[in-house]
Amino acid sequence: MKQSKLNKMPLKEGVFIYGFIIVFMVLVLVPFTVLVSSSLSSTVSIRANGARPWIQDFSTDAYRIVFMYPAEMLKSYLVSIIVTVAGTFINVILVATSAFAISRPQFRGKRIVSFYYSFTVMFQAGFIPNYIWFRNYLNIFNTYWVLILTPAFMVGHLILLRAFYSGLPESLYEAVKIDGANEFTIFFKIATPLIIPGIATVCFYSVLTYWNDPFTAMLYTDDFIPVALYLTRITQYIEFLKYAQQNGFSGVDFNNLTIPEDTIVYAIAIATTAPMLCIFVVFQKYFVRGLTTGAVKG
Amino acid sequence: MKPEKILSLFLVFTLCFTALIGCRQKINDLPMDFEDDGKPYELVYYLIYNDANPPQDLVTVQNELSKVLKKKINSTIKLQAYTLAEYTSKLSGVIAAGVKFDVCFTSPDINPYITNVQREAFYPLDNLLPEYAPETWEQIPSQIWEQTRVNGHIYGSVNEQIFPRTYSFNARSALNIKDFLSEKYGGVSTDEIYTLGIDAFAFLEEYLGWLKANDRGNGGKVYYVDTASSMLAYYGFDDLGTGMVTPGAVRITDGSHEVVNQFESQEYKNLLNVFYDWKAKGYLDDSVSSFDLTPDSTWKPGYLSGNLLRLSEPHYFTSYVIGSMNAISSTSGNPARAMKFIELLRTDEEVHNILQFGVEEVHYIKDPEKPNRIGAFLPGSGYDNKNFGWGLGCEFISYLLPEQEDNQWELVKEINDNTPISDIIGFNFDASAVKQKIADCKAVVNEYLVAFEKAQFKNKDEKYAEFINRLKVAGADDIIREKQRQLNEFLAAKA
Amino acid sequence: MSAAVKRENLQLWILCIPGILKVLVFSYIPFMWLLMAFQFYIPRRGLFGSTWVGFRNFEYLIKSSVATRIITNSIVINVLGIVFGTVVAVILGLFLFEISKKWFLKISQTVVIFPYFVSWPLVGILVSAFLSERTGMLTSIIDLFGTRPDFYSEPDVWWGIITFSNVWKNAGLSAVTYYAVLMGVDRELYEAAEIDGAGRFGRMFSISMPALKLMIVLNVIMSSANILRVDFNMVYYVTNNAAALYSKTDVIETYMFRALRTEGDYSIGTATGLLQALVGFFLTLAVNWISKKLSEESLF
Repeated sequence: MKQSKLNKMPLKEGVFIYGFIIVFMVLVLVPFTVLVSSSLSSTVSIRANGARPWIQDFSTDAYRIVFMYPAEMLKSYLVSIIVTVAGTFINVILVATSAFAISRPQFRGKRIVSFYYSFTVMFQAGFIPNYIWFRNYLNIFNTYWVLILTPAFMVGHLILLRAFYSGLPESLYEAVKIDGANEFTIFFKIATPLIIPGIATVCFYSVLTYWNDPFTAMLYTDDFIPVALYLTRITQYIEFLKYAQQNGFSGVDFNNLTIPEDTIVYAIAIATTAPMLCIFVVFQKYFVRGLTTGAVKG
Repeated sequence: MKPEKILSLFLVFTLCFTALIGCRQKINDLPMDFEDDGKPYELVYYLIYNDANPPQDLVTVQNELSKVLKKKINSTIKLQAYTLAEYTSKLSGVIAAGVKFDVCFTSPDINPYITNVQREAFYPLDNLLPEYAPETWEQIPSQIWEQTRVNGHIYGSVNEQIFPRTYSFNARSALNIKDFLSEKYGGVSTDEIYTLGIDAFAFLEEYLGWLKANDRGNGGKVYYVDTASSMLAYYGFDDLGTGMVTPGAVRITDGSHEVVNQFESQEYKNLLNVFYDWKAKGYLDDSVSSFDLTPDSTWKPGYLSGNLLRLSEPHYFTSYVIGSMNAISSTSGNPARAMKFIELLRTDEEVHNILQFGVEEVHYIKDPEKPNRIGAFLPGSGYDNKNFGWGLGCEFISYLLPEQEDNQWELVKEINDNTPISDIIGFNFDASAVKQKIADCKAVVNEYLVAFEKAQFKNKDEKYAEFINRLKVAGADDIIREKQRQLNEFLAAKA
Repeated sequence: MSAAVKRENLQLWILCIPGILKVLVFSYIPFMWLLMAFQFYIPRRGLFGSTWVGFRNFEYLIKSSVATRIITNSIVINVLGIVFGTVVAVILGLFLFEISKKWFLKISQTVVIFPYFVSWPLVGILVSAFLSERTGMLTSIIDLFGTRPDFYSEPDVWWGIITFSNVWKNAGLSAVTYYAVLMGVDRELYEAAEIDGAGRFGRMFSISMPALKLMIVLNVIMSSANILRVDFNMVYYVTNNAAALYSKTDVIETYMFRALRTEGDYSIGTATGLLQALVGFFLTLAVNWISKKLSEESLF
């Protein structure tokens, strides 16, 4: 491979190149270290010394509080999972069908359809018009539909998949066409199975977008709190805990714990993001692979 | 086809669609007279709820209330509870989208009254009130009705509570304040500090110093004075209904009618000095969520007053007398019925208390000895809006809490009746001429106010000069001049 | 047109229908309400009953200090993001390409794109873990040297903090993209340069950079088309929506958000949005024209 063909890196250059990358990596990792260590520190020590990238006075109080009444958080997870799965599915179908059509050279609507989609990227109504339309006329305010459909059909994904479909040689289709296959068969049976890596990349992107989107829920719903939004409601959560501690709340037993106000935020942050982050990291090679193909093709 | 063509096609399409929707309805000005057809009707009510514990069990309350209302006004009800913190933003969306509902809470700052009246969100109640809510109409003093008028019309039904406000610090969750009081003041309550003639700021300073010296920090928990909410009247001003972040206020202490910039006043400077002094001594500390001492304007005799540290005598403020109102949405299908419901909220113990405490035996139990007193709340019942009687209709028909005195509400009524109504009550500022300047000033104030009152700026004097200067640039003086002009007109018309 | 082509076209149109409908309903129809920008919008009167005020909302915007503030902030935050984002990503991409140790390459790739996977609210929490007055790591460290800073009441530092967060979150991903492009460059070019005696950095400038040039330029001009559009979540969550910072952090999106949610000025909010959309539209057309000249390829 390339390494064997290039000469060995001299020390000075090595320090510079490796140094730069390592510094960047440290900048990336330190905040996460602070997050983890603070969530495992006692609130007293965090209060006294400030957050640090190491654990101060080990304590699991914050996690105990978070998992004492996990109902709200589990509800958030459920919302996020439903929205992400359904949204990704719908987004991929919408994008793939259109991307396939506009990738076909003989499609006469190619230009107009492409423009129709691109225009929505250039010119957007903004969320006040959207809000009124969604709420008063479409009646999808505060439903799963608004969470699933609003972000769907991402034009970037369309361009990526179009590149993948265009990469398939027309000769592939000739044989089946002679057998009388129509465009639907070609789309479902031949073209799409061949660009599974592209579809995987788009899936990955959509999962990421849906999972990390607090905005749609914040604006267009009252009662849906996906995990990305749950993170922003920690103050309310602490208020609730205090109330529960003072007045009693069925199913919650504080066992004389004081509420670790300064560390609970970190514990919640980890409890709501860690599982998905792990999944992202495991699957990231598909992401990078798709990105690579996309970059080369686009 | 060329993109240009498509664009024009699209525009034509849009216009047609708009025309379709647009032509569907013919819109008249807001009517004032309504009939109640007496048929069954479902009311939609946006309930204001406490922040700490959003209701888990609204359905039971809704069903119970529907049963009661069915008998009384042949209606059922659909409740939607929004917490105090999110009420403004939720209702702003509801109103923007023209959602159908009947009754909501409004006040000068929460679900802002004037803004909503301007966008025709509420029906005028001039004729509805005397006809369908006669008791409400009779019981509220006429000066207070004057305060609700915008362009001559009433759009909000005033909720009865304590009208004159008293400025105080709420020390409910202040650490060990009882210990401090017993150690230094022979165990009097915070309420008595004022009656003893002790200056509240001096008292607080002593208390904070004592906390620090004795390290009663409760395991690192800080003591924190929240200085940044509704502070205006701490320096003794009436904001003339525009809210504390708009320059231009009248001193309440000397009975003058001179509109001044409250941020330039000596009172404000003194206040800042106090806070900076406390900050330097280490008494003020920022916190994620816990306010141990909070400014409070809800002092009333009896109820929980042992936790409030008073700073002033009760006074009628232009914005506080209409601090809690119910309004009828202009999307309501039956405004007369909605008015009847508001009347019940104000006069009917059963209706009011279901909304405040939930359903008996499910959410609370009554005191076996006294009929209008709560015995105990059932833990984890999922409904408890106990401190929000003021937001419903009439606090005086709330059941008494276990810790309240029997004559609680008589005491409050006494204050309402015995405090002289100040002569600027009824003055409504029409902000339209200086709207943009108010927005500019608000932007400036918002940028500085919290940081000042939490003593966060390192170079205070420099920042203060900059602040005042930027207010002037943003047009503070024009706002003040306009307020003065309108106030003079109001007083002249009254005389 | 032959019957077969006609039939094929019909089928392809049918395939497009779901996408077309979705975009029609969620993106095109809301355009109607942009008319609100020319009205004093009264919800119960709807679009046609409300009073038309011509350009008064725009006039209001321009006269008040708001427009200057939100437009300046949007542009500055975007320009800083583009400049620093590109510089860091390109350097990182070039350097990653020079790494010969496979295990290191693998780890560093994973690490640098990691922040791309987290949500902006989490980034906001990380920022506050460093900067909050009460327990922030950076705050408490500076405190050791005498003064305790309060970042959340100092608007001036926030252009920097937002840009840092932006680069921190997104640069790694672009770097990997650049790296991917370099992987496609002909190996022999490098060997030839090496024989000619070019050093490592020399090769970066003479071979790698030219290979990336087109993509960098395209990325930059595409971002320039969005110069007035700031990622709402970034600004809103990184700054914790702190009012004291608005003078440097209020952007068009956050202003519109408040117009809908707290200040109730629907029409003025929409006017801002329309202004932003128009600028975005013409900039994109311009950018498309430029990219056509550069790469002989239209973006759409």
